[in-house]
Amino acid sequence: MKRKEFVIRPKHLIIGLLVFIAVAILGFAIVPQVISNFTTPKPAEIAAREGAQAFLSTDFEQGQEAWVNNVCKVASYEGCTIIKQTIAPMLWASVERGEVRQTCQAVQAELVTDTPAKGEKAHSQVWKVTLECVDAKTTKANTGDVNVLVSEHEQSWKFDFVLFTQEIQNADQQ
Amino acid sequence: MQISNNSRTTFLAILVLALVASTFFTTPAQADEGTTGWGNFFDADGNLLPGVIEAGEITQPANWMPDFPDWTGLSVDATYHQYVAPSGETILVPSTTTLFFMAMNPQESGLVGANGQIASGFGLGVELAGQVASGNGVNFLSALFQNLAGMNQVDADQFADAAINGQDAWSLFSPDSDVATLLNLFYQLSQNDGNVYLLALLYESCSNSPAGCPAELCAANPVACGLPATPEVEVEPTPTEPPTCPGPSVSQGHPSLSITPGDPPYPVVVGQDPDKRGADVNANVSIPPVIFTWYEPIYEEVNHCNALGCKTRLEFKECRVHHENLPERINTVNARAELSGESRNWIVNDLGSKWYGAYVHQGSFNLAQYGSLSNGCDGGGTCSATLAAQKVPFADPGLFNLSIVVGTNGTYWNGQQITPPRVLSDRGELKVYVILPTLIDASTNP
Repeated sequence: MKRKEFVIRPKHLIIGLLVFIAVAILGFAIVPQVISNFTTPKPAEIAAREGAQAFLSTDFEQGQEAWVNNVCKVASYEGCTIIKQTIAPMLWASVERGEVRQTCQAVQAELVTDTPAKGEKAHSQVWKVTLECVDAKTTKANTGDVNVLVSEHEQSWKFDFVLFTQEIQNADQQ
Repeated sequence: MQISNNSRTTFLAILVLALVASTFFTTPAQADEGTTGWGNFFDADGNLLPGVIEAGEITQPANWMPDFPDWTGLSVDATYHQYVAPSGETILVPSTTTLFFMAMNPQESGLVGANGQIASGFGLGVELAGQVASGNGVNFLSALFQNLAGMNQVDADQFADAAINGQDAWSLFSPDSDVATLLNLFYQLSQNDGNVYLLALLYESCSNSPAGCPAELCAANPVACGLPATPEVEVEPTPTEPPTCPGPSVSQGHPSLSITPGDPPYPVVVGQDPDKRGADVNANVSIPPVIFTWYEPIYEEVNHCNALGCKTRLEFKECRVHHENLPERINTVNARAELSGESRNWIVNDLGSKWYGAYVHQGSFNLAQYGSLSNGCDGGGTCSATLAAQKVPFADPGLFNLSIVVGTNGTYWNGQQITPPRVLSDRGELKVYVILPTLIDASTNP
């Protein structure tokens, strides 16, 4: 039987040590960044989460103006204008009628569509945001999804609007 | 239901009417000078006619409006400005967004009129129903979508076809023409053009309009709301409101009475007076009028208009104050002279010891028999009585107590007693002197 002998010379030890150090450095420098890229919310997602939270957090006692101000803090100019001038007057009646007082927290978000900028139309995305809303009176929690439209303006993502149910259904069919 | 008034909406509705009528329709609107249509709401100057109910801006849930997922608890209400005539005819001015979604759901929203009553012509106005019924509905909706949403003609035609055919109009939205963009466009258009893209809709009855009938109208005219007529009942005349004036008050002044001796200053009993002068006694009574103050409620005729017309009713306006000077008439006057008890004793005992047989001749008598009595009231309501007893033959010396007692009728106004009858009195004194001879021992005088 033939015997094999491995002779480890000092230079092999040195090379091996250098390779180990290089791998370790790469591991510490790149892996967390890669992991981070998979776990940290992107700006568009943050805009969608914040917008959905502000839009669904309503308090009939604080009033329509307070609600609009909160939404406009996280909304694009166009989104704020639509909500303030068009949606709020028609939506707030249902808040007062139902005496809705709820605080919503986004717990999950998932990108649905990504529409690149085209002509004057800004780069936009639709995010499906899952929120947990807590009724201020009963402390009962309610969880559900909404689809949120966000758009990019000057490299900054802003909340535009919570899509109507009919728009979601339309998108699903297409 | 949230209500707010916008004074400009009246004129806006007319402006919109004219714009829409001239822009959208191929057939000119038919003017109707009769009693139906827009003439039931506005006069020639654009002012609301009496009895027209301006419900203001109303928001109400509508199942044809878009919505958010149920779990959010949020929904979008339809918004209109509503006018309702006494007959039930209704004008709706939907907000631009509401109108857009009405156009997406023309049947459910009542845009084209439900239940087949669309053939009715309403004269001057936007004859949506007639347009649709005559086959122009697609053209109308197409023009509406094109103008409201800025769609191209092809998209607008497809959209109108789908809306009219009851298909899901949402399916025609292309992925890059989301509703948010359209809503923003509505806002821009409305801002730039002063809401000329609104539309005024006329409904023959509020019960057919998407906004329904105001409770105020249904209470006044159930038939106009599609309810059974309330049976005619004999309505008792509405009692006038009780006056809120203060109650009457009475002010009674202080009367003045006096009975005083007159001439001569030192009267002597008539038995010793060779002239038999006697003494004068004067009595005076003055009673000021009773001031009776009362308040008269003043009513004025006020026109009240409701859905059924106008009625004139009396309404309390003010209190008019009245002051009545009521005379308190004197019905009896009794003036007497009464010799005091001390004087009686002095006559009988002291004087009688010196003059044998001295006695009281006339210790008490009525003074009125020696004078004239005048009694009456002046124009100001003051009543007075005067007794001037002249040369009263006082036969007894001493102190006479004079008294005057008067009785009054009280006061009356319009046959009603205001103050009761009363008795007033006063007293005075009069001294009557006697001349007595005295024996003087002259020898004792130096």
